[in-house]
Amino acid sequence: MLKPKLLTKTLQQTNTDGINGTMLFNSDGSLIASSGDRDKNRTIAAITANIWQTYQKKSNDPLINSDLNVVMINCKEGKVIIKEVCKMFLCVHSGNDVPTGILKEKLISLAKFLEPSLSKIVI
Amino acid sequence: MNPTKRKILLIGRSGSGKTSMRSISWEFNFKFMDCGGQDSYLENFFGSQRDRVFRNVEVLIYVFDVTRKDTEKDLNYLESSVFALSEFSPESKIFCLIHKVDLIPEEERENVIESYKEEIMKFLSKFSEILENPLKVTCFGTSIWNETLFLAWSKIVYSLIPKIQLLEEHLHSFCQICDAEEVVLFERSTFLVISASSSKTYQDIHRFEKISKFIKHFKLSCNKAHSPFQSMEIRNRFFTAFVDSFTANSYILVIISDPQIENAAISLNIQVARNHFENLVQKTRGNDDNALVI
Repeated sequence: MLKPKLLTKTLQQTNTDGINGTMLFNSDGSLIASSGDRDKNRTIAAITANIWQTYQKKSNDPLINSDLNVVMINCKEGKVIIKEVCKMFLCVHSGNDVPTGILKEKLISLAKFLEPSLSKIVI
Repeated sequence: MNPTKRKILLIGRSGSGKTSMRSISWEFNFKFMDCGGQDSYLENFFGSQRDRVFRNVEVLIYVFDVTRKDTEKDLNYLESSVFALSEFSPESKIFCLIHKVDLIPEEERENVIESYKEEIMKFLSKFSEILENPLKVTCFGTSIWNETLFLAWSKIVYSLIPKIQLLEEHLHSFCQICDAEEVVLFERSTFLVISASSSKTYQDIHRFEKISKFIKHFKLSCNKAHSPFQSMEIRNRFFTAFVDSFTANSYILVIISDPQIENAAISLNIQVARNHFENLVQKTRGNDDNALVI
């Protein structure tokens, strides 16, 4: 089971060096835990869950035939990056000034940290 | 119906209010036996039908009418019941409901109930030496017009569930893991409270009954609209409440007061806990096919 308060605190630790928000959401885009501006997170989660699914469908195409690993989106106002962890999605967003490589590294190390605990949740 | 299925026996003299209190517990999971209250019927139960009536009884509920002054007759019937039970269902529990307390002026109510209880207990204590098994008797003052009957029935349901302490412990740890303010388990068809775990004390001690009534009404209207009730979420600035179907025979209510906690996290936790509790219930049930399973 998830400890919601503890999870939020863990996510909060990523919010340094220009990162505005970190969140965990399920496949329909509803937040499970988040840190940062909540309303903004909610919107980003809903949109990115949709984007992920669109790409996921494409990746099943026999011509591509490769699993989706990370989705990175560069916007006018900032950057968003998403990764799947145990059928849930981890997402980090920041302003434009943060290098994409740093953002990706942070996301991957957070995913690695959460994976052992999240994998125990069997639905 | 399975002939060995255990039953709840409801006994009381005519006009004591047995049948009207049944409305709260209709379609219960147990075989329910509402014994007619006319004296001639009662004589029969203790006479020729004794064996049939008192076999496989899990719980006997004896209903006293508090407004009646001739308690002697009631006590005599109770005595016969106690002896019949010790013969045919020695493990059974006895609940005495002192009914219609709403007819007593409020300022006297407590005293009247207490003295009534005392009278019953004193009467029953005489038999404790004769009988092999110790009597398990509990008394309640009840009325169909307030929460007392709901409370009494909840206690009765509680007593029927095997290994309830284990369930309670798990419910309590669920409450803590979720950071929930309160978690309540309701029986599915009657919406009586099976068990509750709270992390703070509330002012309103009758809240369970109100919630139960409210959800029962909502469930009924859902059925009218041909879309059976599954779950609901209520969120306002003070709390978030989840009502969701839980194990085969129960619903769960989770109250969260921390606005930082997301709904999806709670839904997820309820889903995970559901599997856990299903397994737990299977275990507590053991080999007893007739036990009340939540």
